[in-house]
Amino acid sequence: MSREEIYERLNEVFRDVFGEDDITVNDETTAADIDGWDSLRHISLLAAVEDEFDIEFSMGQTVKMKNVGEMVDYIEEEAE
Amino acid sequence: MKKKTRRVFIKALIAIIAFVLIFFIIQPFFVPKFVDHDAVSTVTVNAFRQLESNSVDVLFFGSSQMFCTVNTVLLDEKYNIDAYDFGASRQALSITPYYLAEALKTQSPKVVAVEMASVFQTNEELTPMEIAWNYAPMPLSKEKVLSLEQILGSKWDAYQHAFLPLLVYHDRWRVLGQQSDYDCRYDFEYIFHPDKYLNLYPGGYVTVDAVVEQSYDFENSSVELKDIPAESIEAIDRIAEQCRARNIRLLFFKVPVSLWTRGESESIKRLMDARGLDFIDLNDVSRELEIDENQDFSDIRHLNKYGARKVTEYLARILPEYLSGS
Amino acid sequence: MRITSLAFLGFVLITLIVYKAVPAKKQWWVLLAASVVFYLSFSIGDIFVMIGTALLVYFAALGVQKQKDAYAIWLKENKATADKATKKETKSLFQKKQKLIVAGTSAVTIGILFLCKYYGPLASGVNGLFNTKLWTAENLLLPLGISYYSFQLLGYLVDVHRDIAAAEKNPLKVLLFGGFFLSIMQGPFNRWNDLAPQLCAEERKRLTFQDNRSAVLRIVGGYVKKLCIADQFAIISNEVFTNYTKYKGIGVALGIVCFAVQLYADFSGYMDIIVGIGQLFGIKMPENFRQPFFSRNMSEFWQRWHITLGLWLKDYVFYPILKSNLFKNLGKAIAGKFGKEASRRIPTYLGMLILWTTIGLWHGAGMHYVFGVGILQFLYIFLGEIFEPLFVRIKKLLRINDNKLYWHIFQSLRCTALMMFAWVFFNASSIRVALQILKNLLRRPLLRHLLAVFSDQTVDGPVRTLIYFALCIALLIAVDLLHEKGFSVREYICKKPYPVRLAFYLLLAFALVIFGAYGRQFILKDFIYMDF
Repeated sequence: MSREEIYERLNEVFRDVFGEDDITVNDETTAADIDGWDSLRHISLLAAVEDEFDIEFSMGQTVKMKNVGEMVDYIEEEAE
Repeated sequence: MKKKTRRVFIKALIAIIAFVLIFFIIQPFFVPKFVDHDAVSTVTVNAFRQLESNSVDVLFFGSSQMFCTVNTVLLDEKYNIDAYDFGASRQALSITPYYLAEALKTQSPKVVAVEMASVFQTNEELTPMEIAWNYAPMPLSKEKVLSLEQILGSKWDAYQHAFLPLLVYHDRWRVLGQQSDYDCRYDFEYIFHPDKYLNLYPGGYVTVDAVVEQSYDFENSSVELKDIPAESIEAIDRIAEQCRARNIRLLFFKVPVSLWTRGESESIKRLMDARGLDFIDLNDVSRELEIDENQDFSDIRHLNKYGARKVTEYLARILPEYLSGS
Repeated sequence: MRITSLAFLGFVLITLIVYKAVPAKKQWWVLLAASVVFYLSFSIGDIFVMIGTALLVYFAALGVQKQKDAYAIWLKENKATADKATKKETKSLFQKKQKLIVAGTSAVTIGILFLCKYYGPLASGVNGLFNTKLWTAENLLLPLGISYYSFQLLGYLVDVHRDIAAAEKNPLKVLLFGGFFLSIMQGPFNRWNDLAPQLCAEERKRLTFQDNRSAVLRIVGGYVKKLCIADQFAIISNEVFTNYTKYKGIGVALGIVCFAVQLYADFSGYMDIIVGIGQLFGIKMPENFRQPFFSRNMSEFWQRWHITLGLWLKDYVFYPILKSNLFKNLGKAIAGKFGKEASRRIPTYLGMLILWTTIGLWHGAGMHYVFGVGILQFLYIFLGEIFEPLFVRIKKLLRINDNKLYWHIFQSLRCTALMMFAWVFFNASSIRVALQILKNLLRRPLLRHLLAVFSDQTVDGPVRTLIYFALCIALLIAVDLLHEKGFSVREYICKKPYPVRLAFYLLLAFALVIFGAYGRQFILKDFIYMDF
């Protein structure tokens, strides 16, 4: 899976979770950039991403992840 | 680098000097000064210091019960006795030795008479205001620091009261400059010209006009003995010692008030007898004095000017014996 | 050693001088010695509890690290041969062992905390209810800082388990991290990765005059907040909350407002002192406050108030709950019945309820804590979320623009009012008392009751005191407003020429001398959060 493919699917997940149709994320996107991405939604988001790519984020990744780029790195690594 | 360090040092020095300067400029404004007749300390202390040295033959000490009672003007005019009421409101007996020591610096009285109303008061019970009443007007001296240390139980507190009273009275920004007639805690103003008040209480005597009926029944009061706190006993001994050293005749006395019992009187008598000191409770002779419970009192603790006259005249009869008998 | 005592300032000064005199590699020894001395100045016996906890966590972390290393070695040897499933299986086997260590250590640590903080009240409650004679642990006193260092040390252990931190080989460094004298009393909650490298740094950046100046200014400012604001307001709030039957209407309102100001000035003043002192040592401590009273809603408030507690609980309690299998399965079950949105929301709310109960409980064993700074906060946020669509509709109807200033002011005032309501429970001695206070609040709000608060027992000069209070509140708001706009008063003053700085310092110094709550008229008060 290429990074572009991941992003395409990821954008869908974000749009679904945050209920806005015009969200587009990139490597530098952080929680501060998206309305409603607070600690409550963070877990829902990760769960949705986990479902979408059939992977699992560890607790370490859950709390450490600083931006979407890091998330994609991990997805790339796990979902061959 | 060295130059820079020196600059920092100089800047710090300037800051410290500025702080100290401002501190001592604003300090006097915060120290309580009393001019109301409920709280006479500043005036009586200042007036006392204006007296010619060695001009007083009899010095009275004690709390308001003393200076509301002993009419020094009457003593002077009618009986030709030079006397002064040198006390402060709510003065604990443990503070009196200090007042005596201060007084003996300029005066050499023949007789010292101490009123005993506050003999049962402990130092612990003294409120900040009572401490202010007794110490704020007094000049700085070694005796002042020692006395403060004794009643406050802490050297640091004593130094603060004596040298840095701003640290003690800083909270008075809330009431500074205000006067109110219902609570004497507000009754102070900063006195820029103390001379103005010097003649307010001649001879330290405070005239009280109010008449409040009391139920005065000393004879049937409680006979239960009361413990005299150690600090009061120590004060009595120190007063006696000072007088002995100077060859001054010493008399302890108690003015008639309704808040006093036979038990309290008896407790003092036993102590004094054991020490061979003179104590006269004027409550014992209240019939002879013709104390009138409807006319002679201003409240539960104080005689008014009518009661004061009666007691003063009685004192005038017994004082000559003390004055000559030395 | 009270932080507001001259002894503490002397202690910090001596520590600082020694700290600057020794080479950077040895500096952490100075901090450790200072921390031990500081702790011993409060209590001698309790330090063994802290040392025990630190040692336990130290060994646990090493144990976790050992499992990690063992897995890494296995992986290295079998990388080529093992398939993905085997790898996963082996990994989870090693992880299970780690989890066992973490769980066991947490159980012991939390167990000690429970025994010292919660067991006593619980046992006496049970005794009262069922007439039993359980041991009530009355001879167990709460060790200083236990609520802080226990969490902090467990955080370190979990970080090692989560691959965020590496296990420390020197037990004394773990002890220093747990018992660091600047945060032992009432936080902030430090993270190992943020604090430990700073405590044990081999090299330190040189501080400029500017840095030191700014630090000193922050410390002095903190003392002003504590002594001139918090403790002055405390006189009134204590009076109203203690003699709550005496006051009604506006008098009660005054007490409630005073407590809010007191709490903020007390805690943020403490933070200013601590962070400022840290700055002098070249150690950056995390902030606990970000102008909380400008929040637009309650979840924002908690992102700006006692920040490090919220962040700690989020990472170590909230996320693990939500990511637990139990919650995941719950989510799946709900998804099947009520749809996707519900499957996201319900577990989250449940997790929130647990989180807030924990926050409430952390403050103390009383139900008034659990309710006031726990369940009530959950309800605020939960109801806010539930009714959000409705609010959006109403706002549209009233044509309220979110970006308008008046709306922001309204929202901030609403948050403040909601928090004041919650703090009535927080500060009252029980829920029953809190309800009585709230009932009295609704009585006729006569001015007489306002002045009644200022009796002989409280303070003289009601009018001046009220004016002083108003000025303090205005000052707090003004400074926070400037900070919110990104303007730092401190930096501004520090850059000014010497005479201006001198004038400002003298102003603060005399504010402390005159308005400070010290001396015989005042009962010396500890910081509020020291009790937790």
